[in-house]
Parts: sequence; C-alpha cells; structure tokens
Amino acid sequence: MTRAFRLLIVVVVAALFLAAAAQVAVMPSGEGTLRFAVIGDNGTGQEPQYSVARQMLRAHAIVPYEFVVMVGDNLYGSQLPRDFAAKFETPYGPLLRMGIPFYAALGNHDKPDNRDYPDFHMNGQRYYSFVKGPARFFVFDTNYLDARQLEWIETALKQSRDDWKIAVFHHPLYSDGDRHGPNVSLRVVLEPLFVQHGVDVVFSGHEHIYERLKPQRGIHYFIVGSSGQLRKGGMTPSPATAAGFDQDQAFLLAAIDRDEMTFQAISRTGIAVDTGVIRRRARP
Amino acid sequence: MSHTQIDLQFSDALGRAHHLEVLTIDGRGWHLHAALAGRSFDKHCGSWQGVERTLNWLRRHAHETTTVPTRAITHQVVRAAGVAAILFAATTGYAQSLPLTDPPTLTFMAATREYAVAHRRLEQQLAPLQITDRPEAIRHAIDAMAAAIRAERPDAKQGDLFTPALARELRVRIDQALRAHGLTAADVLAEGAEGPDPAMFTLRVNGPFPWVLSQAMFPCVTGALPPLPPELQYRMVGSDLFLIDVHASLIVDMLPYAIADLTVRHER
Repeated sequence: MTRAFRLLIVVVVAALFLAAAAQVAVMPSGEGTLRFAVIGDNGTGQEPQYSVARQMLRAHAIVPYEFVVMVGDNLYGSQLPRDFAAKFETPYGPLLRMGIPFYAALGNHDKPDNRDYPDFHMNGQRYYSFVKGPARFFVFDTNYLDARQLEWIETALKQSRDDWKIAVFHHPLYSDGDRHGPNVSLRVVLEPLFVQHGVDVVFSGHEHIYERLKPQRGIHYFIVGSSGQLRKGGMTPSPATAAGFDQDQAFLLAAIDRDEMTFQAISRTGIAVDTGVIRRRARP
Repeated sequence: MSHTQIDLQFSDALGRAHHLEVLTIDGRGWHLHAALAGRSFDKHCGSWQGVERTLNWLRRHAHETTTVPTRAITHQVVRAAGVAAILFAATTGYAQSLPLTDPPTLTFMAATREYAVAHRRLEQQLAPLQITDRPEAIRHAIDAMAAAIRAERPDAKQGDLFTPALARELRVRIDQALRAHGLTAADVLAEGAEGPDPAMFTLRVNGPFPWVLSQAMFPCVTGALPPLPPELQYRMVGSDLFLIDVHASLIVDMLPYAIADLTVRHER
C-alpha cells in the first residue's frame, strides 16, 4: 500500500467522522448562552435508552449543554435501588460524572417519592422552579393538579420577571400522538395561566414520539417523549404539527441566546430530525 | 334549548382540507356533518370519545369513495371536535361544582385533617423522609412510615372516611364534573388503560398502593372533590377512587365504582 493511498484512507475516515459529528450542528455559543438538553419517557433501562444516552454524550462534545431537563416517566416499572442504577445512573453516568445536573418532572409512571432522589434535583417537591441564566423553568406535577399546585403555579408565573419562562410537565396540552393525544382537561386549566403570564415554551412527554407544534396562542410546545420509549408510527400529523419524528428514539438540544432559542432534535442514531429558532414572547 | 356549532378543519390522507361541522344540543351528544367528494357524511356521537374516533377515521378514509361505516374503531385520542366541546363545557360547567357544606363532606374533611395530624406526629417520631442519595433509604423510610400508620390505625377499613353517605355525594360530584367537561367514564378508564390489570393486585385499606396502577387525575375531578391536606391524594384506578397517603404509599380508603355510569367493573 503506497504512502499516498494510506494518506487518502486517513483523509476519507476523518471526513466521514466529521460528517457524522456534523449532524449535531454548532449552536450559539456566545457568552451568556444557556444550553440544555431535554429528554422524556426515558427510564426503560433498555438498550435504546442507553443508545440515546451515548448520543447525548457525543452531542455534549459539540454542544456543551449545562443541564438536562426530564419531562417525566424517568423510571418505568420497578423502582428499587437497582432500578435507579440501571435506568438512570448507568446510562447517564458519564454526564453525571461531569457534574451535569438533571431536573426532573414526575410522570405517570414515576413514584411520587422519587422527588426525594437528589439526582432529580426536585428537593423533595412535586413541583418547583429553578433559574438558569435568563430562563426560569417551572416544573409541574400534572399527575395531580390540585388547587394548591394551581395556586403555586399562578403565583410563581406572575412573580417571575425572567426573560424566558419555560414550563416542564409530563402530560402534553397539545399533541398529535395517537396513543394519548392532547390533555384537554389540563389545557383548560393551564393554558389561560400560560397566556396571561407569558410562558414562552412548554416541554412535555407522555406520548412516545417527538413533536414540535406550531405556536398555540403564542406559546411553543414540544413533546420529547421518545428518549427511551418509542411508539413507532405513533403520530398522525395535523395542521398544528410543525415537525414530528416517530421512527426512532430522540432527544432535544436547546440554546438560549438573548431573545432566541435555537433547538435541535437528535435521533438515537445522531441524525438531526428537527431544527429551528424561536423567539421569546414580547414582554409588556 | 341551548346549542353550539363548532366548525373544524381536518386533512385527509391525501393532504386535502375538509370542513366538519359539529353541533351539540343541550349537551346531548354531538352531530357531525361533512361534505365528502360530493357525498353528505352525517353521524351522531353520544360521547366525546366517539367524536374523536370519528374524526380520526375521517382523517384516514375521507379521501376514499366507499361508503363510510357508522362506527369507528381504535384507541385514537381527542381532536379538535372533542377539544372544542370540552372547552365549551369547561367555561360553563367548571364553576358549577356543589358547595362543600353538606355534613358528610364536612365530616370527611375533618377526618382527613385528623389523619394528617397523626401522620405528622408519626413522621416526627420516625424522622421525616430526607433527601438522600440512596434509593434504598427512601424505600426504607416509606416502609417505616407505612408500618407506623398501620400500627396507629390497626382496625382501619374501607368506608371509614369514604362513608356511605359521602360515597353517594362523591359519585354525584364526579359524574357532574365529567359531564360538565364533556367527559365520560370511558375517558377515565382509557387514561389508565396502558397500565397493568388492577385485578393482578390486592388493593385494600392499609395496604401498599402500587403506583404502577396510578393514572393522572383529571383536574375537573380533583377540583370537584373535597380538598385534602398535602399528605393525602386522590387517585383513580379503573373506576375506583382511592385515598392515598403519598409519603407512605399507603391506601387510606377506597371507594369502589366511584364513576357512576361505569361500563367496566373490577371484581375483587
């Protein structure tokens, strides 16, 4: 094998590697940019979840996100100590060891006492909020939306003066998933509060697909429910669908830079299945 | 007689837009009408779930020239017809909850407050559940709390809090709340359909509550029930209503057949 031929092989391999890595495009990275990942319905402990986790690790090398938001169903089935290891600590171990925190919402498969597990950063609460840079994340428990939680939600949204208001909860208000669809009984209660108090983005799961909906009353809705579970072909697009992916598992990367959020949905195999930029709502 | 008409757009399998009229009269079901390829499509649906099934069927088959069947199948979920009906119902029905002043309800609320006081006392004696990095410690704390409550209430039985008089009241409240939002018993059952069969579990007062059976509570139902202290929550399993000690994962009481117009019963 000639030296030139060996050099050609090296160049081709390097080009292929870069081409694969380039599926995760460079996102805004200026000073003050807030980068995070979103996963949902992930806690299966099965290979697809691990595969997505490895993809998340690869993506972190390109887009060094600072934390991960979990939209619920963080653990499926048995939730003994060994399950926390198999369904959370092991697949996301590399990220955890890098000090990347995970902020969890409770899904219908999660035991309520999982709010006491420190790596979910729930501080023992079913619902809570946290601030990262210009954004405040409001995490709700839509398994049990009682008057007490609603009062907290309204107060927290009203008091927030953050540039971005992002809601995180399990059951989607808008959805074109075939299995569950939109949770209208939640929508009639939550949407008026979101509209009144300027929520910009909502992340949910429950439906085992990825979907981005067209803005509904000015609010951008994402379903990130296929980061472990998957209902293949489980979506019927509607006029409200902006983008959808139901053929493989996926997760979301997001970067907030001043008034814009850039996002990418990445499949289990590292393909960008949805990308875009959204602007936050104007504040009065 | 009150009625409302809702005009919907949907796309068929070929991407062509169609128009569907949904008319509801006095809350007695919905009448659907559409013009499809020169044919008139008309169907009456007694339930909101029927509307959503029909709309999903139309999405898949409206482009065909064959006669449309009168009944749709599948587990398809709510679309705009049901959504609009619910939104309409919600604006008129949500504020019509019964006041919580009847004696059985007041007795129940007092009993839950009493339970919460006992719970907190026991929790202090045991040391409250702490945030911990060991899942086994969480499990141990839950088990210890449950054991303490069982020791405190060794003779607890079904109906201690959900008394017969209250049971009648709760069934009415739940039924009214569902109807006011255009929901049916089938919708509640569908919410929990993806979980395991409850018949596989032994559900009894003072026993553990298997969260794998838990389904999200409809806010309209939660809102119609008496408020609870933070230690307690309601949960539906099938058509049964459970009162759960959340910190102890313990069944405090249970009300079978809480949904009045049920079609499926679980025998235990």
